[in-house]
Amino acid sequence: MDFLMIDWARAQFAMTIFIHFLFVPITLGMTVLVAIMESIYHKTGKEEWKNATKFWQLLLAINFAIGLATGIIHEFEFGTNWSNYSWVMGDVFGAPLAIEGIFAFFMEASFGVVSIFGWKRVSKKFHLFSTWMLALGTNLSGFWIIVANAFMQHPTGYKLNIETARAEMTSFSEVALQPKAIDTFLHQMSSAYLLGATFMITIAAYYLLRKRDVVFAKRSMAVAIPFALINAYFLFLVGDMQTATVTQMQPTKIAATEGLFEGKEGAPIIVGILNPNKKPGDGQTAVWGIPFPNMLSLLGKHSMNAFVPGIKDLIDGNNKYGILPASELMRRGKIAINAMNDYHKAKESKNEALMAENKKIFEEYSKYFGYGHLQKPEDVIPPIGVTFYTFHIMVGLGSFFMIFFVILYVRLMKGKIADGKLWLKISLFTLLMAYIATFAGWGMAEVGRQPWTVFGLLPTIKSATPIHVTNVQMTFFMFLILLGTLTFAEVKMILKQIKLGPNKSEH
Amino acid sequence: MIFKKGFWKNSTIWYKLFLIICIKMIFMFILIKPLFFPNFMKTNFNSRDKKNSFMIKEITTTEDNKIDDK
Repeated sequence: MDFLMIDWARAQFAMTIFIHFLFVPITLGMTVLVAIMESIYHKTGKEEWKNATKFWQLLLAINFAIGLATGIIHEFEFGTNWSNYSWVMGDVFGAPLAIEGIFAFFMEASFGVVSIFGWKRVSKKFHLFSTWMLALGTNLSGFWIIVANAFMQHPTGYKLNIETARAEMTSFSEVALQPKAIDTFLHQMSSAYLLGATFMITIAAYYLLRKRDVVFAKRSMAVAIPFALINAYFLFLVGDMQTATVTQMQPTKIAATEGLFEGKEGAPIIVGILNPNKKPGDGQTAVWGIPFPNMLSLLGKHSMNAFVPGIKDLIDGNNKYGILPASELMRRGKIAINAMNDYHKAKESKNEALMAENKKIFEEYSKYFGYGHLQKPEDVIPPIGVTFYTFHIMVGLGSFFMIFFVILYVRLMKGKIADGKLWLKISLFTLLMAYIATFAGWGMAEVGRQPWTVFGLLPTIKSATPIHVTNVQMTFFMFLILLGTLTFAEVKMILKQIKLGPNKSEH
Repeated sequence: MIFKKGFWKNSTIWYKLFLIICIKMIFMFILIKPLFFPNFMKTNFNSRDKKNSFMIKEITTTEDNKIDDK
C-alpha cells in the first residue's frame, strides 16, 4: 500500500470535512434559535421580534446556502479514495446515509423554502410550524451522520460476511440506538447549539460595543445567553456520559486522551502538559500538572477505585484484568484473515469440507479481523500528543463557557448586558472559542480512533483505494480552492449584512 | 406559487445565494464528479464477482500472514 497516497487521502478528507464543518454547527444551532425567536414573535405579536427573526434567518440562510452540498464531496471521496472502506462498510452505511439524505433534501428543503420565502404567503401558525420543522429536519439529518460515525467508533449490529468481505447489518436498532450514537449525538447537538448561540452573542456584542441597534442586540442576547448557558452545562453532563462509553468501548483512546501510560485503580485526571521525555513503560502517567485523584476511574467507570487500563496494559496485556496483549489480538486477526483467504481458495477448488472448516474458524475469530493487518503491537495506540491536547483544549474551553455564561446570564438578569466593555469584548471572541472547542473535540474523536477507520475491524492503511497519489494531490488543491472561495464568499456576505444591520439588511 | 412569489419579490441577496447554489451544483456534479471522482469499483470492474475477488485479495493481503504460534 502506498503510504503517501493514504496520507494525502487523509489530508484531503480532513481538509474537506474541516471546511464543511464550519457551516454545520451554525446551521444546527441557528435553526433552533431562529425557531425560538419566531415563537416569541408568535406569542407577543411584536414586530421587533419578527424583524430580529428575519435578520438571523438571513444570516442562517447565507450559511446554509454556502454550506449546502459541501458534504457531498465526502461521498465522492468515499468512492474514489476510500473504495476499500466503502466496500466493507457499504451495507451498514447505506441505511443511515440514505435516511440522512431524505431528511436533508426533503424535510429541510421543503420547510426551508416556506420558512424563508413564505412570510407573507402562509398563515403565521404554518410559518412557525415550518421553521420548527426546518430545525427538526437539520437536527435529525445530523443524527444519522452521527449514527454512521458511531459505527466507525464502535461497530455493532453487524456480521462480517466471509463470501463478500462486507460488514452486513444484522440489527438496525443496534446500529442506530447504540449508546455511542446517542451520547455522541447529544454531545454534538449541544455543542452546535452552543456554537449557534455564540454566533448570535458575538454579533450582538459587536452592536452593543458600537452602540448601534441596541434594542435588537439586547433581544438577541436575551435569547442566546440562556440557550448557551443551558447547553454549556448539558455538554458537561453528556461529556461525562461519553467518558464512560469511550472508557468501555475504546480504552486505547481514553488512555491516550489522559496520557495514562500504566493502568491504575483509582486513576486520576491530571490537568497539565505531556512530559515529552516519557515513553510507555516509564511510569504511570506522562502528564505534568495538577492531579484530581480517582477522577478518571469515577468518570470512566463510575467507581472511585475502578481499574482504568493504561497504554502499557493495552500493548502488553494485563492478566489480572483480563486484557489481552495486542500481539495476541494480532495473532487472532491473522487467523481470521487466513481463514477468509483459505475459504476462497477452497471454494475455487470446490472443496466443501475445507470451506466449512475455514468458515467455522473465521466466525470464531472475525471480531479480531482488523488486528491482523497491524504491523506491531504499538500500532493499537493512537497519536498520544494530538489526542491529549485536543481533548484538554476542548475541556478547558468548555469549562470557561460554564463560568462565562453564568456571568453573562447574571448581567442579563440585572439589565446590565449592554454595559461593561470587558464582558462585551470577551463575548466578541466566544464564536472563535466555540469553533476551537468543537474542532478540538472532533480532532480528539477521530485522531483518537486511529489506527482504525472502523474500530478493530478495518485499519486506515487497508481502507484506501490503490490509486496513484497524483490524483489525490490534484483534487486536494482543487477542493482547497473551491471550498476556500466558498468560505470567503460566506464571510464576506455575512459581514456585509452585519454591517448593514437588522434594519437595513436585505432580509 | 409560494416559492415563485416569495422568491422573485425578495431582494438581491436571494438571487446571489440561488446563483451560488446553482453554480456549485453544476460544478460538482457535471465537472468534479465525472472528471475527477470516478467510482473506483464501478470503473475498474464490470461484474460483482470481479469486484468481490478484487476486494477479497485486497483485504486478505497483509505485510506478513504468518501466525506466531508461541
